Amino acid sequence: MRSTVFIPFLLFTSLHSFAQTDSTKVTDTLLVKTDTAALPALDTTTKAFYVTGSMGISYEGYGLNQRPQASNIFSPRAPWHQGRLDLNPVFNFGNWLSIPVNINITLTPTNFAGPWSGFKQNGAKQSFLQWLTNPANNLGISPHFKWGDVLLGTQYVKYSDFSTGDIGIFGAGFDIHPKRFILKFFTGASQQGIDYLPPDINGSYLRNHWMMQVGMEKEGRYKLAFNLAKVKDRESSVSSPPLTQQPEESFTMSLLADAYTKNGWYIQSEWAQSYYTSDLTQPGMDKPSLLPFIKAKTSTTKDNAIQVSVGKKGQWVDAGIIIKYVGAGFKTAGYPMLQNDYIDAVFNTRITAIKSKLNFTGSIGQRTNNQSNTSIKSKQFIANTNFSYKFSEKWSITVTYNNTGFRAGSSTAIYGVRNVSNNIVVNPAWTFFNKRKTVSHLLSLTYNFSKYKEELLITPFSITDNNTHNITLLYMPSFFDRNYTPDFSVVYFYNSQAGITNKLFTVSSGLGLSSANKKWQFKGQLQYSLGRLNQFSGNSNFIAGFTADRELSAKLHWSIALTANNFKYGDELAPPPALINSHYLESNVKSGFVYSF
Amino acid sequence: MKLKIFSGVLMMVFYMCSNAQITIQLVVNPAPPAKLSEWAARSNTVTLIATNASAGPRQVVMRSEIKTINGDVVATRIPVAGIVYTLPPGNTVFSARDVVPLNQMSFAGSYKSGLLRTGKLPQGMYTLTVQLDSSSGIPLTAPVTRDFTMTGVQLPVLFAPYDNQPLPAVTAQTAITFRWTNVIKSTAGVPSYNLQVFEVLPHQKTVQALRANQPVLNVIIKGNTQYIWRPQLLFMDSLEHKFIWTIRTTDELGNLYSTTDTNPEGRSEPRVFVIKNSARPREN
Repeated sequence: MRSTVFIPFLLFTSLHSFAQTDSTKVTDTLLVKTDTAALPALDTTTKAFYVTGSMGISYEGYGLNQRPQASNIFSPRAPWHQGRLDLNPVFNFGNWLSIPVNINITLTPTNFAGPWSGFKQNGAKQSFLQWLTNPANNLGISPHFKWGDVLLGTQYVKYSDFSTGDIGIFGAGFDIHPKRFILKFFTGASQQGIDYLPPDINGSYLRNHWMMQVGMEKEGRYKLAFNLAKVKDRESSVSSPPLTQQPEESFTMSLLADAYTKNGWYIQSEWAQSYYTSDLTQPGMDKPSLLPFIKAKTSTTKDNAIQVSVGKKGQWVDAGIIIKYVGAGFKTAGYPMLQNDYIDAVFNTRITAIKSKLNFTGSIGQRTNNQSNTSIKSKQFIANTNFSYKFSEKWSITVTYNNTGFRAGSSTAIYGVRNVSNNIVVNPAWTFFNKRKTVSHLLSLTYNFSKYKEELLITPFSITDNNTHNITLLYMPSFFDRNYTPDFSVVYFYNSQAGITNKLFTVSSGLGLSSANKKWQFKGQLQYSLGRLNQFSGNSNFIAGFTADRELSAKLHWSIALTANNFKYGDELAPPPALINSHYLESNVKSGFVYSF
Repeated sequence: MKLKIFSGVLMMVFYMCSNAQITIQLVVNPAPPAKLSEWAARSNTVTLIATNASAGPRQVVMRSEIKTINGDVVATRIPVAGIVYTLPPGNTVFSARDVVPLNQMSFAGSYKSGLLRTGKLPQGMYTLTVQLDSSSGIPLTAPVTRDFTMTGVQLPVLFAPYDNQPLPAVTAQTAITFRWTNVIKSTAGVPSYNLQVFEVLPHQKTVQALRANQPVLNVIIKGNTQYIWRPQLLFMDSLEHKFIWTIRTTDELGNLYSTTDTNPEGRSEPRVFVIKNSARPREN
């Protein structure tokens, strides 16, 4: 494996030297027309032009050494080198026009899920268009005037929970809301056409999006909006069709209706209908079409989704119920990860009482998956409660309980299964001061018991009966007349299931420190952990972390973070004997400049 | 009367001779994809081998029918004028695209509305029957029937950490326990779960992180539905760290489970968890 820490150190040393020799020069070089922003005390609303926001550039280096070498006992979990540019200034022209710029670029693509970017490790280089639409990069600009926005570049446009909102699209559009009216439109591409190129590139079709919202809104009173979202893959965008993907098309329309009363009652609702074609190459049919938006193929389905939430918000009590139904054929490309075919009902509440000393939040709900009976139906029960009580300024206690149950199939089916998870956390905390009130001491103890049982509904029944105990003790003194802040913690973790016990013990300590003039901020942390699995000899893990933040000027900061992680196995990887006491060392370095306009 | 008997015997001999010249073998995947339109895209769902033993080509019309195991008709292929297959001497192989062409199938009542809505048939056992006729409607082969079972696959539901669950930083530095439900399927075999955790960086949306970042955890767990992760990361350095996690499920042969229930890569609906250093902001 490679070690890549040394080069970044050199880079940072040089960068740091440069910054220290003439920080003003750095500021001037990095900034674009920010002279006016150098006067933050001024009332910016009276200025003709000013800039807010921030910009930053950073480098991350990663190293991994393993012993024995090439044993692959641990996989790298970051690119060896990564550079990032974050440019997020807002150019303001008086109080009538502002232009937020959102540019986040990574120099090394690391795409993992999906064929969206055209990038694969050891694969072909991306084209410029692929780079533009790569989800690793955002390049957007959104000029905003009094009652409207122009959207250009990469945008995560969210209209509602069922129409579109989870996908980055590179394109152009607008949001305008003159008085109470809403009119929104956006079009662009979320992925480029990429040829199937074995063995690394599965390929994808060029995917175009169009979306629109029309409606009326009065903030805090009501919203009524109609959404349209269409997605279509272009079959001709590839010369070698993707391996696992068929060209798709979808059209979703939804009606959003929200209303709020002055005394806290609210209702929020959305009804949506989707037309989804999973394979455009299949022959056409008459139904289910919705011309002129989408013409049916044999792979087209049409289904509905509904969401309604009703409740009341008050100073001391909140209560509400959310019901969500997503049909088996409902699918929208604006939410590619959305699971369909379920109905979900959840009741939520919050209670604050006894002069805000008692806080209770809870939710209870049931979800039925595969409601359509086109597959194996399952039921899921979820309950969460959180109770906290502050006895006094010194004493408080928090109790959290979580129960999740799942059941699928029946006692006559081989797939019949039931899972039950119970989790309870009790956390008393004690805060006390010294006599001069110059130091406060926080002592927090957390006990967590978790029981997880999974069983078949037929013999041999039991799959897993799993118990976890976790005890954490945290001590944090705060010195009000000192410039350091230490913390100490101890964690014991014990997990048992049939034939397996897993014990972990961790000691951790941190120290925050600032220089007298507050120009430097340092933080350091050490963590040592011992682990033992069954009868194997123990493993150990040592992590050391250090961060420094230097205020180069009122607006410019430089920071560096160094982390080393050494893990040494016992004999749990053996055989082969060569892996007894094998170990790996991970090293991370991150450094960068951030300028606040 | 004698003429009638003679004519009948002649027709029977003719039919038997014709039958003898064309034979069919039907192979149906006993657990085909839940979505019927996917049958056409997969070559191994339905295979019909028609053997023409005669010296010259023969023109045939295909008849197919789907029934429940109880004999209720689900769908029948509508004869469409002009759709005639020519069988050259020897073997001709047809796939689901020819045998069960959805645009030529007439579905009965509730099955039709269900198909238009979900693209699937209700869970249960069915039969597929295929027969070849001459273009004038005279049966050339005996009907051949095969059984199949429609059961979709339910990908694992992610249990813990639940969506947007806050986890205390001090405890999470030692271990984070992930739990999910078994993949629900009707076939035997031990599945493998590919657990993936991605850190959501500043300026990133959660799903964007899943699409763009290298995972900080990427392990394959065979059969078990729990994993205790020792992150070997320091979480006390800032107020909040956000992660998104998901599961990719594969069967014992390494094939992804049904792709139509969720997204093209067989991932369960992801969940987000947030590690919070809530004890105290460590700013001076």
